[in-house]
Amino acid sequence: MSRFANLIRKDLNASKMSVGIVAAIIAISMALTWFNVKMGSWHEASLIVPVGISLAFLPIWFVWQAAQKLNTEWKDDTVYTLQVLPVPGWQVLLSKIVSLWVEYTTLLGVISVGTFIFANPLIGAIGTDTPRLSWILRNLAILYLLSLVLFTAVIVFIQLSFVVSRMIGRFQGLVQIWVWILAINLVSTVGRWLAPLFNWVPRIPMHQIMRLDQLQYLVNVKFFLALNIGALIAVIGLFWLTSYLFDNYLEVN
Amino acid sequence: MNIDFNTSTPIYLQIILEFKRQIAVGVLKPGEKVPSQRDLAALLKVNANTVQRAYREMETLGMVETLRGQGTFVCQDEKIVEETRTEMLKDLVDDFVHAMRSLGLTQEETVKEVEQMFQKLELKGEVSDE
Amino acid sequence: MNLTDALVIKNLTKKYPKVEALKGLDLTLSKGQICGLLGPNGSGKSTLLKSVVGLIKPDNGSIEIFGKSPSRHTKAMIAFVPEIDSLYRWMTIDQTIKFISSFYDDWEVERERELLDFMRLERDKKVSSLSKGMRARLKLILALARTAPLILLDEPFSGIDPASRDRIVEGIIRQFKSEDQTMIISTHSLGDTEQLFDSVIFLDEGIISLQGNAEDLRLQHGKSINDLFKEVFA
Repeated sequence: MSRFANLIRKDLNASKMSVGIVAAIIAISMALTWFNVKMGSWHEASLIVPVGISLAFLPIWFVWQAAQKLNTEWKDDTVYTLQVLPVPGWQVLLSKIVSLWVEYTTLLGVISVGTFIFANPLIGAIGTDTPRLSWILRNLAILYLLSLVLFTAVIVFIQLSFVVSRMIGRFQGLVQIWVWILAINLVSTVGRWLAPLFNWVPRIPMHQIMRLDQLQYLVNVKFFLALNIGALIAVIGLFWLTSYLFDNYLEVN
Repeated sequence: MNIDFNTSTPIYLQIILEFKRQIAVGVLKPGEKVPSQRDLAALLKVNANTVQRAYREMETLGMVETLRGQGTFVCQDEKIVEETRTEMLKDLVDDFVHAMRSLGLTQEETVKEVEQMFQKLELKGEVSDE
Repeated sequence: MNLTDALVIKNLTKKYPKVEALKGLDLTLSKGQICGLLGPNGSGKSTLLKSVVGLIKPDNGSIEIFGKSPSRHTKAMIAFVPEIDSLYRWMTIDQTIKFISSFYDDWEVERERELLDFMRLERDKKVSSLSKGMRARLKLILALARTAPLILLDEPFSGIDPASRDRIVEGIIRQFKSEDQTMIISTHSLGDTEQLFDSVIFLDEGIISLQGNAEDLRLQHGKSINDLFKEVFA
């Protein structure tokens, strides 16, 4: 366990700097907007700009970051150190996923805290029914968990396509794109195949869980879990495949 | 101890030869402790197994003895100095005479060459009292 | 498989798109020795060592490390030092040591301290700030602080200042325990390091052209291993 924890710590330390810089940029831009609004030079609505840009930027940055996690090991030749260690591939790959979770959560945390401190008026503007803080927190947490699952699937796709492209060694960009397309296809196909098996799983009434009835409009969102259980199994299968390839076919020259 | 190795001959033999030389000229005295194998290996930058081989050989030759837990010592017997000296001397003279003969020099010519060399060194003041 | 063998390799082949690095190599190496793996650049030394540690998957043939095929379990028995700069540059020496040591049960803190002292390295220095010679010394510490049964050093002397090379040679001699360790050192230029080796292997274009005890070879051929090497690969 301490070995796995050490791998995570190493990955976190390696990107400490870049995560810190991004966090600082987000915080500073929020503070700057808040300051300008307070001085009266900018309109209050401009508070949404840094929050919006940060939230839009985050997924792109993390896709890039997920690719970098593996790519830098090769670029800096540290893969020689990593591949010589007596640890199974799944620990190396999972440690990178866990460290990405931590970084993702950290930056989301920065955005949320920043929003509460600097963009408080925005919260009041979301619902016409003056939603309570607990309602916001609850739904943010649900959205966060759902995004984390999605993000994890994306990381698995990235890791698989990276490992396969490294194994082939040529046309790496092209190979990565193809593996991506195949992996997404596979996951959705498997999801559909396996769906009948999980038909007994009730559909989750998200509008109840998220208490969307508190909104002005009537929204009905049902989460078709059966389809997603299959897809999730497929993602786990792809993770296992990546680990297997990592251990048995990936060469370091 | 410092040996300038000629790596074209086995290194363990050169180590033994150096020990013989040091015993013969009195740098190493009978009963004196010699470096441990590992220390000597590190000092000479030579594989420890090679040093071990040299020490084992020297034990067989009766030059040194290893006392369990205390280290390796030059043979206590004072006779070793004289014996080693004689042995080295014989070897050197043997080599020298054979070399001179292979050059076609007679006994007289060889002796003359040796005398001339000693005179030359005396002029330069290079002959020590030893 | 013999109990005194550290390494048994049979018919090892490895082809790359452009070159055949190993051409059916056979090798048996007994325990307790420091073996020099000698050959010019491109003779397959690196491919051989990487195959043993498991970084490269050979096309054909078998490798047995103390009777076991390369796997995660043999990785725990091997200390491999690549030629390349493989350490995390953003780490300090101390962080590097703590990271690497956590993966091995055979790490000895006492040896680690001795070696750091002997190699004159300070724990708080960043890897990126070290000279090439210092990085080579650090890599050697990572291998020698363990009591790994098999140590593989890939070109530990190439491109390194003489002072660092002397330290490395002396460090190997001081720390190597022939009772329970075996070491293979690859090099394309012997220089003045030939006294380090018990035995040598000459690797020529993917196969072994000569293998033997260093002292025996000197006696047989009447020349140094270095001269023999130059003659064979002239």
